[in-house]
Amino acid sequence: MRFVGISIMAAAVLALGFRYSLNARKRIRNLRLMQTVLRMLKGEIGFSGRVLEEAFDDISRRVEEPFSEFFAGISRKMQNRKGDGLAQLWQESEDAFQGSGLKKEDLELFRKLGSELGFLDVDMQLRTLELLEVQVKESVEHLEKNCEASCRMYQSLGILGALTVIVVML
Amino acid sequence: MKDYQMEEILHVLPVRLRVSAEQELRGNRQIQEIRLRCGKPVKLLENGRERMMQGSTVLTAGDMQETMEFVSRFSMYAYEEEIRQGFLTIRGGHRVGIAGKAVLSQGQIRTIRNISFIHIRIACQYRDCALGLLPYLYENGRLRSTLIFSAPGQGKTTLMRDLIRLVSDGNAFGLPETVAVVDERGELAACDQGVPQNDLGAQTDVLDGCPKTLGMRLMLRSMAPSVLAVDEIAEGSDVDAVFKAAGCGCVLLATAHGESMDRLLEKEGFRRLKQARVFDRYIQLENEGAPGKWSHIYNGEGGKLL
Repeated sequence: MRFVGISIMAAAVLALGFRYSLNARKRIRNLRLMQTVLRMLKGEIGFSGRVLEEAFDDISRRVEEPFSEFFAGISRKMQNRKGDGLAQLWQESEDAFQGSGLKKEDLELFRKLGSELGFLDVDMQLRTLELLEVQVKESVEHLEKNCEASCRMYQSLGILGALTVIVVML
Repeated sequence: MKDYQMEEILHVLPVRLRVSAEQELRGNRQIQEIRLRCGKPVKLLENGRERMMQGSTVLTAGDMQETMEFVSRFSMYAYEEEIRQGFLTIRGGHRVGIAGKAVLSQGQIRTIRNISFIHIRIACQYRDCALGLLPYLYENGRLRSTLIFSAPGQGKTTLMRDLIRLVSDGNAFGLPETVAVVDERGELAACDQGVPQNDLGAQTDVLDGCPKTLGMRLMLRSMAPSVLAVDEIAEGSDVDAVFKAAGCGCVLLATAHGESMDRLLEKEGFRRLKQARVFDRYIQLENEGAPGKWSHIYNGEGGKLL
């Protein structure tokens, strides 16, 4: 019974290390997806001149999760027109990013779009999107540079933690 | 007004006014306009008379901003050109006129900010309101090119909408015809994502949001219509485009501003159109309680038929 308990605890610590490592990769993947989304939005607004509600709906069909779920949700809420502002609807739809690996600072960066999009002219929208695109690009570059080292560290910590649990418990 | 059309109006009003507005609008076909003015309560135009909306309080700058966010569907940038022109059309075909502080650049209006006056003209589809007009518009089973004119708010667009439907579906005087509609302001078809919300008939193709001068040429080339319909042609490039379209051999249906035939022909472009006999019928409207009610019908030479 004792050995079973130790094995479960060690496996949990090991899994935690690998999960952190996986999340680091997922974060990069979703930040890259965010870049794609920003490019799509630039096209929808700058070239097609579509309203946000339609642009979001269209993008939700062309990208993968979690952004597909996010944009489908916000487009649906905008169509319902209960009276909330875009910034609020944006925030309410952020549930879609749970388990996406995106950190608080990534979501705050993305949230700025919700409070800045829609006003003034097309140039203003494009400038807002371009600025965010640059910031996301910098984040991706920084994370990619450290990704391998971080992942290795998380995995090693997981293994080390599991071994520590075994040694201490025995 | 159909239910979805009323919903569209309610959805652009400030949230705190929606309950009162719904009580006023539901089932009431007599309300023609809603006026929102900052610092004043909401006014309704009912049967030609302006009155205060029940339960309305003084509107704030926040209410006006909220309304514009809903009107533009959170996308003011997508309506830059419309805002410059001072009006935009929302779903359901309702026209929203705006006024506030005009921002100028090189003598041209760049945009309107601090929008403090909003005027919503309610669109209604009155089926068969053009039925009585048909005997005057057909000769030997062939539709004649027609210009409907009146002062603003007399029902030109309403009548034109029903006329398009009757021509497209066919009627007692003529077979169904392929109709191309250039709906520059979106009031005829009230398209939502390209799909007409108003019934314009089974054989109607719609180009939504395109300037008439470009749209008429495009529709003639791409859709090969037998009838081409446009709303509110004005002097200048619109008239030139009508001349070009008339030369392509299709029947034209159009509307224009003009209180009377004499006032209409004071404009040089319309005088030229009459001289060239581009239109075979001129319909003058006079609002006597019913929308799209005509008072005079003229032939192409200006002679009275009715």
